[in-house]
Amino acid sequence: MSVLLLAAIAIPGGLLAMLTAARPRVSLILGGGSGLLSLVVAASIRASDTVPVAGIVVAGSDGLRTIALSWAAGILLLAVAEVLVGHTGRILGPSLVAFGASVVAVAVADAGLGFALLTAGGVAAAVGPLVVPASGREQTALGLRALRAMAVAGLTALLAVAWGASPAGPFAAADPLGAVDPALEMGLGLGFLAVVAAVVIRLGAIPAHAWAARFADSAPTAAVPATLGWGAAAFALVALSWVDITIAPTTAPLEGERTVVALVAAASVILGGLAAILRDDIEHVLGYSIVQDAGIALLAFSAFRPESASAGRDWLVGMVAVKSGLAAWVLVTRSTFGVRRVSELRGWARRSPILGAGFVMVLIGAIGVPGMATFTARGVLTELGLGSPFDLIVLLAAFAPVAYLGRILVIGVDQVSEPVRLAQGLDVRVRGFSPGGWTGSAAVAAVRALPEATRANRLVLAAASALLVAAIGLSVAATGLVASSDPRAGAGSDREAALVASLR
Amino acid sequence: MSLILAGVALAVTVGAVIAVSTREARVALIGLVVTLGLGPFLADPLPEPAVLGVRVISGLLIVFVLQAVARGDHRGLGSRIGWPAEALLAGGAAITGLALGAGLGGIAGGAPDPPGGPNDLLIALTPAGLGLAAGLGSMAVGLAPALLGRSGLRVAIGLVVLCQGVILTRTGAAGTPGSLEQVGLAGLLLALGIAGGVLAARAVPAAPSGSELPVP
Repeated sequence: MSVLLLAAIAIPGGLLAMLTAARPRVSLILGGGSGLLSLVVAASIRASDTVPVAGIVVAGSDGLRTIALSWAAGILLLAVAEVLVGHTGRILGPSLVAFGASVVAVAVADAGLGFALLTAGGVAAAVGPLVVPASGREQTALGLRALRAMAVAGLTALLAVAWGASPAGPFAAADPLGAVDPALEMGLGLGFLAVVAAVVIRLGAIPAHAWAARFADSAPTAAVPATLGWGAAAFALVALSWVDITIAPTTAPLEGERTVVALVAAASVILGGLAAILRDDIEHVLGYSIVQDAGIALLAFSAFRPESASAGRDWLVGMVAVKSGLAAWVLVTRSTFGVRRVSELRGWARRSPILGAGFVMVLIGAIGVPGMATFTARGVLTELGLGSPFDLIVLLAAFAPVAYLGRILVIGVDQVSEPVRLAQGLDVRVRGFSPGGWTGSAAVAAVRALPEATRANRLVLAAASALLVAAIGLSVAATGLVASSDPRAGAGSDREAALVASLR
Repeated sequence: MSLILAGVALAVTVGAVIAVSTREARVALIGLVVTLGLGPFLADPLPEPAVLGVRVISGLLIVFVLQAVARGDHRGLGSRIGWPAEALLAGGAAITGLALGAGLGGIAGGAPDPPGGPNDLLIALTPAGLGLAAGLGSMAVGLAPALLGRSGLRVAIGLVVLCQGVILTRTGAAGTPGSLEQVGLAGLLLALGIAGGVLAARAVPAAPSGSELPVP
């Protein structure tokens, strides 16, 4: 019930926040209130929380709780950071709609419903911040591009699911004890490639990276995690479960198809990392680092083994949490120093140690250390998804964050550049308030001084918000999703039961 | 029953062709009303009345939003290859859908041969075949404006027609979706239609007269 309650709070709350965007304060109160309530409800999701709705089981899990809590906290903290750096908090409404729809999508047993909800939520998250409250011609073009990408990915996945459930699909046509018919094998290959193509487009992996790179560059930075991070990861989670249940149990080897997927994944890892290293714009670095992460996630599709699916889930959730921290850092850094080129950011960490601490957390999360869930997952995915020696080459390329994030950190402790030196508001300031003891009047004075103190320290507080997002990201990357708490475990077992029933 | 469903499938496909072919925004929206309004009835068994209501009302809501958008100056509507070519495209795709439906029926060990033998045209008029026919027909004409259209309104109409085509194809291939999935699909249509409409309202048409093909 908690999953449905969460959706019932987040989706209407987000829609109301979007509809009242012309009045930013009202929108912020509605969105912030819904976000806080969603966070509380997300904490109450349990594995035993299973509700049948109109014949479809909506199942909670420990993994889903991790996703929902991290995502909800990220939305709120990013919105706080966005408001503090001078924007209107326009990402709050669209992000909440996407959040509510995605949580239900991951919790249900029906992949068709999952893809429909994820696409609807993705459209809201991508287009909402570009049109609310106003947009220019460039933003409109960007919105159309993102809308097309979302639609193509979602509709392709829906068609593949329709084939899977049709009389020509494996549930009806496969012989559970015999070899796979050549016609069915071809169908399995096409269905598999269709779903992976949808994932490639939705994640923004190479060769479908153009829209994602443009989005990361030109859309509000705070909107990037909901569109290219959490929302895309949820899409890949549903696709991974569908492949696990529809394609993997058959005896069809699909070697050619898996090789194609592995090639696309390797290209994304190598070229995405290279582009992130060569780019000088921090928003481009964010965009291409997401492209590289998508490549590693795709490796989960190229090996039909439970270990690779489990590692893929760990990687997806851990990396989007870490990249939410990077997005928060980019948002606050750009607003604080007024520049977006890495070369102009010399000495940024010396001027803002809070931002520096947050960035170090992002760096650790992105590179990983032995024992961290994402570190292990990356090794497993490259080993199972690629043959030797290509796995070593791709694994080496997957450590590109050492170069592109390490460079930003090294520049951060260098001599302070002129734009960084001129930046204001980086020191903690308390004006008009001096504690006068534990009296009622002192408390009233403290409350009265709060708005002014917030205004005076808005950039420090924004940096603190970014630090918190990075801390959440690091903790999720360290722990991952425990194997037994697969967010779609309940959904999968129900689907398997349906499969067995249909085969009988 | 099959003849009624055939009529519905024909109307849905014709509505889709009109929606993407005409240069008049109002006529295009009338085509869209037919496609979105009748599409949910192209299923056997029919969904529950409440679900049908949700699907039809969400379709009307999309048209309402697009109608508000269409009040402005929206050049770029209409097909450059013209409605006869679009109709042929849809017809070809629909015939493919009917054949696929018959094939699926055979795999599933479906209906016995009709009175006229296995080559009788009536064998193809199964609910699955008709759903696939209307779905593939709508997808065939919706694809180009959705992906290549330059006018915001044309893209929005194309996306809605394409999505409706996918939903009909899904219904034809795998049977009537469950109630919750129908609501999810209605939400998807709404999201695409409203997002496309809002973007169309803010877009300035790039081409003086409309199509996805470059002017020679």
